Amino acid sequence: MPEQSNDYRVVVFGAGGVGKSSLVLRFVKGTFRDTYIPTVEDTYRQVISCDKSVCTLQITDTTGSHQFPAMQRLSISKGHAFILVYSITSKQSLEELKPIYQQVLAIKGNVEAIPIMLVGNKSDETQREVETKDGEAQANQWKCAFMETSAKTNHNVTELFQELLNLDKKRNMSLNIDGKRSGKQSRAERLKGKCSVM
Amino acid sequence: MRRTDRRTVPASTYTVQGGRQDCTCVTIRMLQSPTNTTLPTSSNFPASHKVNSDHHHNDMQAYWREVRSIEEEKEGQEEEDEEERHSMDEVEMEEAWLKEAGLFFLVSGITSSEASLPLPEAVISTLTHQQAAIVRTRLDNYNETLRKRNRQPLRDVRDIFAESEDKSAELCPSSSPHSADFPPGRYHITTKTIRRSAHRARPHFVFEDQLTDHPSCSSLKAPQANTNPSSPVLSSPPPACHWRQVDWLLQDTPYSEGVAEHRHSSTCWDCQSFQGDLRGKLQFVPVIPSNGLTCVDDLSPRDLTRLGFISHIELTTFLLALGVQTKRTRPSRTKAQDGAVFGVTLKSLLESDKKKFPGTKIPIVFQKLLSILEQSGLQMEGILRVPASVARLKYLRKELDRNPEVFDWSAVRQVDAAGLLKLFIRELPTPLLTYTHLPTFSSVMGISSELHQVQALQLLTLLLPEVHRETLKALLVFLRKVVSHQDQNRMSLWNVSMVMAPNLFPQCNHGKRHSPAKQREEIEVAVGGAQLIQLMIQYQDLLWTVPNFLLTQVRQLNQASDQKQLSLSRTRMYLLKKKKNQNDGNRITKLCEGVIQVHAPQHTKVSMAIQLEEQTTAKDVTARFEGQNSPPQRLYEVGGNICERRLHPDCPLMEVYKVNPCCDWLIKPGHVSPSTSGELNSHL
Repeated sequence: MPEQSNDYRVVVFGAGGVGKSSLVLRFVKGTFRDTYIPTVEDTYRQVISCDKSVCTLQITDTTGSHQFPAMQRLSISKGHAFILVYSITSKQSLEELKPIYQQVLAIKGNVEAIPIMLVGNKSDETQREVETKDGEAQANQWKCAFMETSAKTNHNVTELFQELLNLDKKRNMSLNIDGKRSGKQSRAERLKGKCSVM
Repeated sequence: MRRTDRRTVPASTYTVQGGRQDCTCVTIRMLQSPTNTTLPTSSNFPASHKVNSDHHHNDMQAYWREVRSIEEEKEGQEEEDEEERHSMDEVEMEEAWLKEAGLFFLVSGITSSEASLPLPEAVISTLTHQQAAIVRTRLDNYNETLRKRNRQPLRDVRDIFAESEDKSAELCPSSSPHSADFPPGRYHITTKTIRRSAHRARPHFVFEDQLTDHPSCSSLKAPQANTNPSSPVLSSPPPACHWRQVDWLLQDTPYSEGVAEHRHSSTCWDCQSFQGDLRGKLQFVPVIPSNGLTCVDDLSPRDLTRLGFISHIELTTFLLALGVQTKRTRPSRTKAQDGAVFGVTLKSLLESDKKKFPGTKIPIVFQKLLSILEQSGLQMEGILRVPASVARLKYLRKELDRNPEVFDWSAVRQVDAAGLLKLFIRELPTPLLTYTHLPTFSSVMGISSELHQVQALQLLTLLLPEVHRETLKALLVFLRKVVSHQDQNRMSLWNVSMVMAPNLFPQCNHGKRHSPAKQREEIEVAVGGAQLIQLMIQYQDLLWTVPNFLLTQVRQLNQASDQKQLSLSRTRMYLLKKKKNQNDGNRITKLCEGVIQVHAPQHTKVSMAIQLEEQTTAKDVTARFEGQNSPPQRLYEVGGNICERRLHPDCPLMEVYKVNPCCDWLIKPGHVSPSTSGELNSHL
C-alpha cells in the first residue's frame, strides 16, 4: 500500500509488556484487555484535523522485543512523532528506552523539532518503582514532554495523543474533526481541505 | 413466428418413435453382452447399476424417454445443427488451439498490447517436456498446413524452441510419443523461476481405510518428502479399500506426467487402484486439511486466463498420453432469437442482469428456476424426470420471453420449472459446456479410468467461460440436492444423470434411422454422457478446485513473463521499480526473514506485521483484524508471482510465503465485488 502523503505518523516505542498496545487500543478502539499478545508491528489509522483540513493519524505500535532492529530503524525514519512508553512498575523499562532514544536521535539528527512524549504507563498500579519526578527528570534531560497514563482506567490517554499533536509546531492538529465547530463551518472547511489535496 | 410455424407442421412421428425404439433395443442388447468392447467396461459402471441388466434397461429407458420428450418439444424444427457443426479445417483447428493456449501471437504475429496476455516465450518456458512437445507438434502442424496452401508461416518452430533439432526430435511425440525413459528434467527450458522440486517422484497416493480417519497434515507431507525417484512406489500393493484421497490435487506433478504407463501397460498406478481387485464403488475423499487448495473463484480474472492457457495445453497432453482422440468442431453460428430469455447467450443475459444486480454471476432467470425447484420440488417424486405439458411449457416460455420482468413466477409449478430449466439449457445458443469444449467432454467419456476422467473434467471446467462455469456449478449443486432427497423423490444419482445427459450433451438426428454403427455410437454417447454427468454431480467440489501443479505453472508463467517484460522495456522497468519502492510490505518482508506485513485498508488497524510460524494459518491472521460484529474477513495473496488469490482460512501461510516471498498480504471482506478486484488489477 502506498503511503499517503498527508498521513501523520506516530510511532510508539517501549520495552515488552509496558502497555504500548493497550495504550493504542484504548485510544483507537476505547477497549482494554488484560491478556498479553506480543506485537510485531501493528498500524492503526484515525482521522484527525490538521491545518483546518482532514488528515490521517497513523499510529504504529511496535514490538517490545529486540528481534527486529531493521524494522525499528524503518519506523523511526518514517515517523513524524514518537511516544516512548515505560511502566511505572519497572525501573528496567525506563532504562530500556535510553538506546531507543539514542537511535531516534541518530536517525533524525536534530530532535528539537520532533514531538517526543515520554510516558509512564500503568499509573493505576500501586507497586511503583519509578516516581513521577524521576520520569520528569528524564524528560527534561531529553528535552521532551512527559505524562503518566493508565490504559486500564483510561487516564490521560486521549490527552496524551492530543498533547503530542500540540507539540508539533509546524502543523495545527486536533483529534476533533467536528467537535466544537458548527456543522456548516466544518463542511466548508472539509471542502477546502479536499481542494487543497487536489 | 417462424418457430411456432414449425411446430404446427405435422412431424414424422413414426420415424421419431421408431428410431427411439430401435435405440432402446440396441441398448438392451449391448448392455447384456459383456464381450462387447464398444461399451464402457463394467468397472466403469456404477456398482448399483450392474447388478442385472434389467436395471440398465430401465435406466436407459429413462434416457431415451428424455430424448424423445426433447424431440417432441422441438418437432418440426429443421435439423440445421449437422451442417453447421461440420468439422473444422486443419488450419482453423490449429489456429484455435494455439489461441486457446495463449499463443495466438505466434500465429497472428500481432503483439498484444493487453498486459493480461503473457508472452508466448514465457508460456513455453513454463511448460514441462511433454507439454512443450505438444505445443511444438501443434505449431509444426500449423506451419505445415499453411505451407500446403502456399502461405508463409509467420514463425518457424525453431524460433520458438531453441533446442537443437535432434534433441527436440527426440521429444517430439510423433517419433516416440511416450517412451518410458523421459528426458532427465521435467521442464524443457531451465528458467530462473521458483521451481523448487523439479524432480519429483511419481505421485504417491495415500489410501485411507476409513473415511473418518483422515490423515494429518504430516502424513500428507511424508510421501512428498520422499523425493527419491528410484524408490519403487509400486513395490507394495495398495491396501484394498474403497476410499481414495484426492491428494493428487496437492501434487506438483502434472496429470499428463503420470499416465504414460497407462497407455502401454496396465501398470498405471492410478488405474490399478480402480480396476485391480476392488470392483466396488469407489469414492474420492477430500483431502484434509484442505489447506493449500485453491478454488477457481479464489483467483483473479487475470490469473484465471493464464490458468486456462496452461490447463488447455495440459489437457491436450493428458488426453494424448491417455490415447484419447478429440475431434474438434467449428463453433456454431448463434441463431438469432427474438425472445428475452430463451435462446439468449448466458453472457448477454448476465450482462443485462448485472445492470440491476452488480454482483450477479449467474443469470437471474436460471437462479429463479433453481430456487423454485429447491423450495418445492426436491421432495416431488420423479422431479426432472416427469415432463410438463408441452402446451403449458410453450405458453410459459412465450410469457417469459415476452417480458421476464412482469412474469408471474407464482404460477410456475415444480414440473414446469423443471421443464423450463431443461429447455433453457437446451436452447442456449452456446451450450452450457460450450461448442468449443463439448467434443473434449465427449472424448473424456473414452477414458477408461474414472480417476483420469475426473482429472480431465477438472482441467476442462477450468477452460469454461466464467458465466458458464458458474451456471454449471449452480446446476450441479442443485442436482446434488435432488439426489440427496432420493428417498422422497426416487431420483437416484444415476436417474438424475440420465435425465440431464441429453440436455447437456445435445445429440442431433435422434429420430432418424441410422446404420448400426451410428446407433452404437449413439448409445455410447448416451451411456458415456450420463456417466460424465454422474461424475460431475458426485465430484463437483473437485471440479472447482485448482490442482496445485497448475497454480505452480501459473506462478512460473507470471514470473517468466515479468522477467521478459522487464528486459523488454526500460520505462516499464523504471515504473515497476518505482512501484516496488512504494511498497512497505515488501520492505519489511525483505528486512526480516519470516515476517510478513498484512494490510487491511478498510480497517482501523491498517496493517500488521506478523512473524510466521509453521502452523500460522490465514485464519490466525484474519482473527486479529475481526471485531465482535464485523463481517468475516479473508486474507489475499496479491502480487509477486500471482495477480491475486484468496486464501483458504486453513491455508498455512508459510507455504505461500515460500512460493511467493514478494507478495503483499491483504485483508478484505469475504466476497469481493467485481469493481474492487478490477481496481486491484489495474493497480497492479
